[in-house]
Amino acid sequence: MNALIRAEARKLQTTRTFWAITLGTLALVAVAVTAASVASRFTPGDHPALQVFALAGLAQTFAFILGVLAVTSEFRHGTITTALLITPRRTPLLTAKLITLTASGLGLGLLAFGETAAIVLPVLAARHIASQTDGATVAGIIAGGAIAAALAAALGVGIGAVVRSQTGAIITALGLLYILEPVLSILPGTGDAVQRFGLGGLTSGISGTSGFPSSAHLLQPVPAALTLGAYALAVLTAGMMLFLRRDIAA
Amino acid sequence: MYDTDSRNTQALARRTGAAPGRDSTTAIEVHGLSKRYGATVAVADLSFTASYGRIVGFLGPNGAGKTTTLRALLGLIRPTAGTATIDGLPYAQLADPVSIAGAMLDGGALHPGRSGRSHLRVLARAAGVPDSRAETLLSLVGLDAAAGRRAGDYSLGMRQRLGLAAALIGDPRVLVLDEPANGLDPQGIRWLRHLLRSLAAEGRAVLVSSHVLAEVTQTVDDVVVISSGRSVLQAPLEQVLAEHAAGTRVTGPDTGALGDLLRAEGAHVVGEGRGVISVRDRSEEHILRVVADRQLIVSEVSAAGSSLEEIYLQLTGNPDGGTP
Repeated sequence: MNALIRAEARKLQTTRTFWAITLGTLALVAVAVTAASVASRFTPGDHPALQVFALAGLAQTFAFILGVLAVTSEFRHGTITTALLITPRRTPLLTAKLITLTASGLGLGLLAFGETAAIVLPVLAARHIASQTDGATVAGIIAGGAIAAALAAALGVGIGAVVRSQTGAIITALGLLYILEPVLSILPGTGDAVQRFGLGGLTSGISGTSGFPSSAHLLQPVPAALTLGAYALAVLTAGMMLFLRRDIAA
Repeated sequence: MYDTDSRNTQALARRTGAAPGRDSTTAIEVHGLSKRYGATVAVADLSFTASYGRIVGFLGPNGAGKTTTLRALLGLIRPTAGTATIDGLPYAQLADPVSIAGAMLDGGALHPGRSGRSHLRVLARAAGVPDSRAETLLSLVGLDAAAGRRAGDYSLGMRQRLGLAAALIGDPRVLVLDEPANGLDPQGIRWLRHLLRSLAAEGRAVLVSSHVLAEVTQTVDDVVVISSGRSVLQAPLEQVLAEHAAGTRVTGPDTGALGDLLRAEGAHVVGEGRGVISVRDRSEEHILRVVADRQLIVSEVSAAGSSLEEIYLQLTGNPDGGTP
């Protein structure tokens, strides 16, 4: 298993996509966080730091995409065949991919939320705005943000294994995140539940930020993490069963 | 080339005490293999074997079921019926698959953004072999100079070479190569022949599929011919050529009369006239003597050549040589 994880890590490191997504995410988060910290007019009663930290949630979206791509690019380029010729047992292969991508998501989340803390706290202090957080809260947000990104990457691996088609999986993922959830979350009947149990709401709940867009209906970090973990487990179980059953015909 | 001679000897020695009922030299055994996709039958009750130290040409037109068979052999697709084993076990059940078998399918699929060297290094890690193995193989297949380039920019021939290197990553005793000569130039095909010959000479079994006969006739020891998913022939190449020796080909307006005369004296004649006949068991001189005695008109008398190609086209029922 160790060798397989090392192989999966090398697969990530030897493509531009991984670096573009990782570095691009960190750059985007840095720009957005800097702009918000410097320019936002916070009103009394806001939690300025929590609002700015919500922007780092972008890392969870891209961790999700990393997970999807890690599986679907193997099917797209046919390298799944090459991989299975070296590692014909499919359970260890997909498990190694899952572990590697979950760790990558964790790292990406840690860096994105870490850099956010390094930007927002000094800027708010310089502007004499109370951040309304303490060290323990910030540490919790960074840890939660990283865990949420790790779970998002794991969910991405599962969706990739179920859908296989790269385009199909990306459209599924983005459609869910940016169309279905936002639309459902403003409908009167489903809004609160989607804000609470949707992917966006859960990742915000895990990290303890205000949500993006801000929501008053978020779960606490632990139940939110358990819920997102259950989603990931369900999709991964389906993905693994399909991966074990399906013919790899091309 | 590789430090495998001692290992192969040991492996062969170990196999001597292998499971009863199975020939200790059998590397690949396909038995009663069938694969259906819905109503389409890709492979039907196919059986053949491949032995250590020999190159087996797995031949058939495009769409005959070669790739399906190889994928089933390598555990990538689940057969509808039958078994396919390597070294006595299904590929996915081998304890150390990479050292038993290496394979190239799809011309060695690769990620276009990864360099040839990185591609092999990824596989080296998964196979648990040192990175230096990647360098050894890059120079074996002649890709040293291109190793750092993105594989997406490689020519088809370079991809095939990289795929071969990937198949050899675990220094396997059994090689399964699907159409390895695709995209290779004549020098490349010659290089491939030498490589396969030297691998077989080291005691390895090589199963190589092709739909282009010219690529394999000078390389293989045994042939397995399949057509429409069924085996139509399995035999050593020499035996096939001897049994199907075609004799002498005669063309011209009077071949019908000539054929009747030769048949009357007991010769084995194929063809009903119509401009061309083939005579199995009479010399060219004898045929020409009959032609001269009877003042027949023929335009050409030549050795038909017992080429594998003609036999193959006959067996696969595709005399025009086109592929479906």
